[in-house]
Amino acid sequence: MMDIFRDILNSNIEFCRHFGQLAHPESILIICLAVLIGIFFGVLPGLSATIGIALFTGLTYGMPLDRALLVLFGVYIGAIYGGSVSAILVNIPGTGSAAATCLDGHPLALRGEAGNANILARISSFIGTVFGMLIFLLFTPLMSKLALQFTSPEFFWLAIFGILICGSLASPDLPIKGWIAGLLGILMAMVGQEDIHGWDRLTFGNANLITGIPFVPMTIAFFGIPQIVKSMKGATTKVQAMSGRSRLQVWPLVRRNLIGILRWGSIGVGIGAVPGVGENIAAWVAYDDAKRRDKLGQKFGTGVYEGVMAPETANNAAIGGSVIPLVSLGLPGSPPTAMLLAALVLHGIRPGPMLTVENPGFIPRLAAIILWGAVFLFLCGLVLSKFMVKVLNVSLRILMPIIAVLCVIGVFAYNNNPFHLKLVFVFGVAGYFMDKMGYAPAPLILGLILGNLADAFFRRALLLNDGRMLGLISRPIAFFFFLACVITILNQLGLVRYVKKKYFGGSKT
Amino acid sequence: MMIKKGLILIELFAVMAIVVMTLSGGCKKEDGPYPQRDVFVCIFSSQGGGTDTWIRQLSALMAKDLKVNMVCTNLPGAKGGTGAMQVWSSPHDGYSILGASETSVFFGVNDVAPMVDKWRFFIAGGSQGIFAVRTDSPYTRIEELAAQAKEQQGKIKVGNSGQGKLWHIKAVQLERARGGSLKHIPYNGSGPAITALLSKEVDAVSCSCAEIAEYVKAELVRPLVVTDVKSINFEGFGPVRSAIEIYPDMETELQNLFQWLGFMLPHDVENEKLKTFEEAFKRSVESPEFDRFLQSQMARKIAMCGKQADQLVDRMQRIASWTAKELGIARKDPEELGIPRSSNH
Repeated sequence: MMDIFRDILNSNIEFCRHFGQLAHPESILIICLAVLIGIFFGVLPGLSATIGIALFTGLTYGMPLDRALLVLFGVYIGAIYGGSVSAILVNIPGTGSAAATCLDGHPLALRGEAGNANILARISSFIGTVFGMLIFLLFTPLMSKLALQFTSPEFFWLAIFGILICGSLASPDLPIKGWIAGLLGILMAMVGQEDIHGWDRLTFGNANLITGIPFVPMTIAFFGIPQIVKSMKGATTKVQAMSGRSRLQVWPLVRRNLIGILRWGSIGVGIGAVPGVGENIAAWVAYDDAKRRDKLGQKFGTGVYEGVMAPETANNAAIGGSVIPLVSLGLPGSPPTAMLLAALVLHGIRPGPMLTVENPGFIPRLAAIILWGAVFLFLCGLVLSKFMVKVLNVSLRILMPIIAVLCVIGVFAYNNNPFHLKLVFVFGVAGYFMDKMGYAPAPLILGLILGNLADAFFRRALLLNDGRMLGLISRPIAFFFFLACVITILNQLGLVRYVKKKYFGGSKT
Repeated sequence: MMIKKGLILIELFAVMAIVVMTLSGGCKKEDGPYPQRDVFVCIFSSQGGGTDTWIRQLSALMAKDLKVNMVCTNLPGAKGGTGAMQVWSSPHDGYSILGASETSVFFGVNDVAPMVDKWRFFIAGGSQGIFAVRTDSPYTRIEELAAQAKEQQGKIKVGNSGQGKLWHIKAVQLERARGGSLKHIPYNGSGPAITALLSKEVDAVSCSCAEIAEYVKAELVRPLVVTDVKSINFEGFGPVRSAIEIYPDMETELQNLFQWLGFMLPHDVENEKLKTFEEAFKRSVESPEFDRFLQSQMARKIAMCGKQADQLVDRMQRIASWTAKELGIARKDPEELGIPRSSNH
């Protein structure tokens, strides 16, 4: 026990030393620029943290390791935050992890509280990043052991749990529309060659569809295109640039939600630490958690502050989380950290179980870099958001074609495939009509992200268990997730409320 | 008012259409020598695995030489077919290339992408194969695992990087030599397969030596047998025997199927471009930086391109396709595809 405390203490001393060492004008300039570039990558729909890191992995190849890490983590942290800006201001998520932020961020902007929503997103992102960094610094060995408890059945139930969120993202007029959109997303996820045996599904002989329907272009098709068309038709309310800052007491709000922030941060770190899941799912799970637990649950989707805070805390906390398995096991926790893995190898560092033995100062050094990234996220966001909110003063007639062009460029930059541009047009038109009929895009995107995961892990779990369905719930964590799924379904059907009302004195949920 | 809104919409779509046309078609024309812009490298396996690391290293060296960015993206799935089809469906202009491995010799029988005669190969090197278990596993020697596999048919779960890929075939070859039966579990690359081993989802894994070297050093994984021709000395563990030493009848099979990593370009890319790419490739694989990388990866240099590489891959395709058929995992009959049976098969 004393050894553990001594290790933690030594780690903290090392961390403070590295943090101090990085307070050098050159390092500060590098990380400041990297965070700014990251925010730029995040703001532009289609460009993401993964693309940013991938680009800078090549560009930082010749740099010393410390500088390269400053650049790569700066881009990573900046991009995850940056996605929220376009989600709030124009209802188009800049990155996949900001899709959940649209749900309450944009309604807040429509109410003239774009400034407030931006401040909340920035503060939540800052807190989330610092929270993730602390867990990474203090609990990496423990978290990596927990992450290894996840096998195919656990991944399957985690994916199902995520899919069930579709039910709580229902359209206001008809709850089942959330499910219909979610199932459409799952159906779209089935297109392409499947992972287990490599058979084609729903490709209709089109070679381009073998690669499946990618998620980033679809985010633009279902969030972006309908929004652009609606704005151009004058069917949307003009977002007010007024910041509305005077009406919001930010820090009391943060204090009031302290427990929630810790929970959302833990969700972010936990999901981030599981190899191969990442911040996109963390944001949705945190949003769903906030919605279910908050007194204002029914008002979520209409512009609730917690609806912005939850996903933004979780997606940034997932940064620290996803670095945990990378550093301790050599297994990336999310797509951006997979790029970081390759970058580290290119710099002669082999992430894996021996990294902390051979390089005992590596974790504190990385934690110090993440903290500097968080500081500059806060400062750069503070300066930029004032200008970004002013973008809303520009006439929609000028602004929307610019955003449309940026969307198209973002889709192309995703992996240079012109076919994806065609997909965006086709599904963009479908998205517009779905929007007109009252189908929300969020469950569809969620189904698209998770459908393939659920399918592959389900079939792999069956293969491992000789086809026995019981194998899906025979492990403790898998059983826990299974129960969580059952309770969520019962809750969505109203049975939990009914039982509470009948047997526990009719207390409201 | 309605007309005005309609005009605005037409304006919007016109601007978007111009951008689409510019990006999808307009960029085809180029004036100067190749390469004029960033080269898109599509890696056909998941992030963090052996292929991924090799291709990123090679791309970084090539980018320095060609003086353009080599932008790497991972497109795993479908036995490498997903990434291969991505490159095949992009313009064959030398700006979209495949970061690949020996898995591509199975494209034909797996029916996932055009066969090897439709590609040009740039082979850098490769690592030897290994069959490993966790250190808490009851098996300390391959013979013990083989005996158990005979006793409990299909009970020992072995993870691999994908159905029909090299490490799967290696495990199947080993299984046949020993006479037992294993349960093969496919993953999307060796990274997830090793994760499955560490999380106790599978009992053993078939992958490359480089991919598990760090885990061996950390005493998390115990190598049982090298599934290639030469024995290997693992740092922190000691020598590990080659399967040939235990099962001499495997020699031909093991000699003719091995890992290689490198690039693939569609065969109809202009000759001038292929030549420029080939020269840059040769300079990159002969660089001291690449030698250091090989050492860290416990790998050997092959450095082969042009006709020599195409012939090598053709031989491998013959052996791999017919082996896959014999193992019952070929989706298409090599005979139907016109792949002749290799003389030494």
